[in-house]
Amino acid sequence: MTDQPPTPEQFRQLVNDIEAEVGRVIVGQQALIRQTLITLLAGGNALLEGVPGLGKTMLVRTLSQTIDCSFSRIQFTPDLMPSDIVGTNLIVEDESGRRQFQFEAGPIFANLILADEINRATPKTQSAMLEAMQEHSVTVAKATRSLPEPFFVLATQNPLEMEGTYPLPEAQLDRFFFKIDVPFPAIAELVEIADRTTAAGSPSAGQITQGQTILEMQKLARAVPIAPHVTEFAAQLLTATHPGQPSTPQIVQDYVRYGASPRGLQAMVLAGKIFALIDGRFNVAYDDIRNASLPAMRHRLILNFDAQAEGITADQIITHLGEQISVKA
Amino acid sequence: MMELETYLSQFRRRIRLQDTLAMLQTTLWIPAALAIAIQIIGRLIPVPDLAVWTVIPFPVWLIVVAGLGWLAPKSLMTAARNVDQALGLKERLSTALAFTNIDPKLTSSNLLSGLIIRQREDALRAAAAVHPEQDLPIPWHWKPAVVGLTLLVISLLLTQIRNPMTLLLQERAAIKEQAQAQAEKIEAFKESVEESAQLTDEEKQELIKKLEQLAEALRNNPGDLEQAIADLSRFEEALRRDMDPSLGSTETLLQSFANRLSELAGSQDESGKQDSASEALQALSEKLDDMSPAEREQLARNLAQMAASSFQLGNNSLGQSLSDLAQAIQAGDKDAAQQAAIASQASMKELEKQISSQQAIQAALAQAQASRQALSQTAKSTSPNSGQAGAQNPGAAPGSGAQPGAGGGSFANQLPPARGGRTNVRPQGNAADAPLGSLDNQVYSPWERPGTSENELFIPGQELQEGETTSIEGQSPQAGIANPSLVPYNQVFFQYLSAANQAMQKDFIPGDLRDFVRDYFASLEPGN
Repeated sequence: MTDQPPTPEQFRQLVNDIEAEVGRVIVGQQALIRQTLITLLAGGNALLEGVPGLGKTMLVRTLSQTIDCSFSRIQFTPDLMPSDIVGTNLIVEDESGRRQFQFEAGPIFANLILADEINRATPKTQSAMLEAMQEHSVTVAKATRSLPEPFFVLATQNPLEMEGTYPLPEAQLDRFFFKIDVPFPAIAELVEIADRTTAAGSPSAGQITQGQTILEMQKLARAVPIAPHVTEFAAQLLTATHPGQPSTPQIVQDYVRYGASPRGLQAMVLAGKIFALIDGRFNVAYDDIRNASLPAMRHRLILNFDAQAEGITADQIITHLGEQISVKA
Repeated sequence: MMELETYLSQFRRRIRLQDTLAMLQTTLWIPAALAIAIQIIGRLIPVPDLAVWTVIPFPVWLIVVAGLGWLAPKSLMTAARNVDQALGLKERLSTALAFTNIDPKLTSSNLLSGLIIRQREDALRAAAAVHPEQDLPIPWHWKPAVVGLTLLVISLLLTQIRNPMTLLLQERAAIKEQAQAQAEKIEAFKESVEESAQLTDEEKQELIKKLEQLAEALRNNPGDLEQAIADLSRFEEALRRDMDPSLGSTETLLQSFANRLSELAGSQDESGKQDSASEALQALSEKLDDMSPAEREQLARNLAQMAASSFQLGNNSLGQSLSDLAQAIQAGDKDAAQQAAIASQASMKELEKQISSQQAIQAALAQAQASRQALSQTAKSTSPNSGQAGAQNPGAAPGSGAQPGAGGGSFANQLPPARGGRTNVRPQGNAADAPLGSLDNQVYSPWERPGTSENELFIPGQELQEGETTSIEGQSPQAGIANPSLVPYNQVFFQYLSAANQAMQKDFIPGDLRDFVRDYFASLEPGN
């Protein structure tokens, strides 16, 4: 690829190629791959929630291979310290015997980071990680160091083993562009997984593009025009998640404690633009917003006790809102 | 970019047509339901021009729907969004239109300008592929349309079903027409009153004012029989207040005086007019010298009797002058007789004037009764119950003359309905003109006496010797002489019957005696 920004057609083709290449390694999980790729192209970070062994690490590793980017995996544990992530200054002795501090970069200095089971680390470590996610830079000993671009963090958390974990606070969850649910594979997919991973040769993904192209694609995605009424629809959808307002649907009044933040609107609009480009369009449609609303807002809604007691999920509420909010012509 | 707007203008016309037709289908039930409601209302209360009112909701509905469909503001953006939504164009047209005013060359980002241009091209392609007639078909909302059509059919059927209120409306129209005709007659009568010399100017103006008010009330009558009857009754009541019930007797008395004076004067004039009586009085006073004492005594006695009759009727002035004349004749005082004769003549003329005024009022009263009769006949002829008893004409029977209790049939076993009767109505039959021989069939009928504070009760009296005074109240001034209190029996029978009926309904009569009373009144029915 050259430094020229890709055309919309090239954008679409690249996305399809990357998905296909990743699909050679990851069986099924098309929605997971698509949403992960959209998060990467939006310049955000994704939080994956799913049981262990569903291919999350494999997904990030394969993705890094297809875009020719560096990859790091950080296994979060309670004793993990921030310096273990961002790096630290070490005293080294040079050839002349003189001692000086030398920064030893941590695993975060990579393009694609897999923060595995992020909820097992202490809040202090989580904060260091999330600061890097937000600022794309780390500060060690008063020295701020930029992280390589593209910078993409894919954090995971296990929804089952909650003992001894430090659930991410809502303010920190809000920093994730998407929260992507990793469903358990179907039987056919499991069979395929078994076949692929137990054969003599394991499939591997080839390079499709490079990191610089990803950055250009991010710029292109942001340039997609969106009509004011479509943006307004996204805003209505977001506003509808806030209880206590006259126009709020009853389901929100009943089950939601706090609605989504404006970051949710940003995520919906930006993801909608990428959905449009992938769909071969040059404008954002209502459906793009609806498609983006689930991963963009599900971790931004704070449900009340009634919802937890009755088994109402954020996905149900967001889906209901997407159907209920009318598109006025 | 004009091309996109051209496309959108076409789409907008098509969408307007769609909206209008959809609105017609979904709102047809509204005018149909209104038409049904109007028809139902028209069967509960009389509604003039019911067919017109039934039809009116439909043109109004059409105008409103067409106005909303074709004149309501619908921007190109609205049309673009409608087409995007209807054809699943993923907001291509509306986005392109939203960025119409943004010049791609002026945008800061080359990427944005390039994408805007590409988006416009994409939208144009999408718009060019749309064929409004095929892709934007006329919507059919079967369910509301069927409901609306069903209601429409029901409303049409209702218009074909006989409406019982139609007869009532016809009756009202006939009554209104009759009221107009009677108003014209009263106007004509008013003109005759204006030319009449029987009344003084003040009386004339008062009567004309009442006639004008009555004519105006009848002219404005919407076809309400009861209102018309009430207007006539008020008019009659007002006239009756101005009438003196004793003047009929006075008129008879004056005629009697005229005849007797003419006989005494030896006049050949048999007309019996007061002018002849006054001449006879004058001649009698001039013949006094030629009369023997016996003749003067006889003449004085006759004049004294006349004076007594005048006092009995309350004509004190005439009675006093006749009494003076009798005394002058008896005394042979010619000058005094002349003066007394002149005074008597003046009193007679004054009474004549009063009688003439009463006759004019009587004529007005007769006109009002004729109008009442005409209205009642009109109501009977147009009423679907015209074969039943004439109780719809309250108060019309007394004094109306020829048709008391019209349509009443036999009352042998059942009393007529009470609502037909009006009590205490002064009989208006011109009984004074009836021959004396018919008095056998006449009975006393009470009327509403003017016994109010304004009109004191009239009690005729006569001074006797030693300061004694006799008074007679409520009796005929002269037995056997026809007067307004005597009316034919068949005119008052139903009035009494009605009163008896009311009394029976109000438990004035013990239950075990009602049959007896009913039989008694049945036995009194004229012809039994």
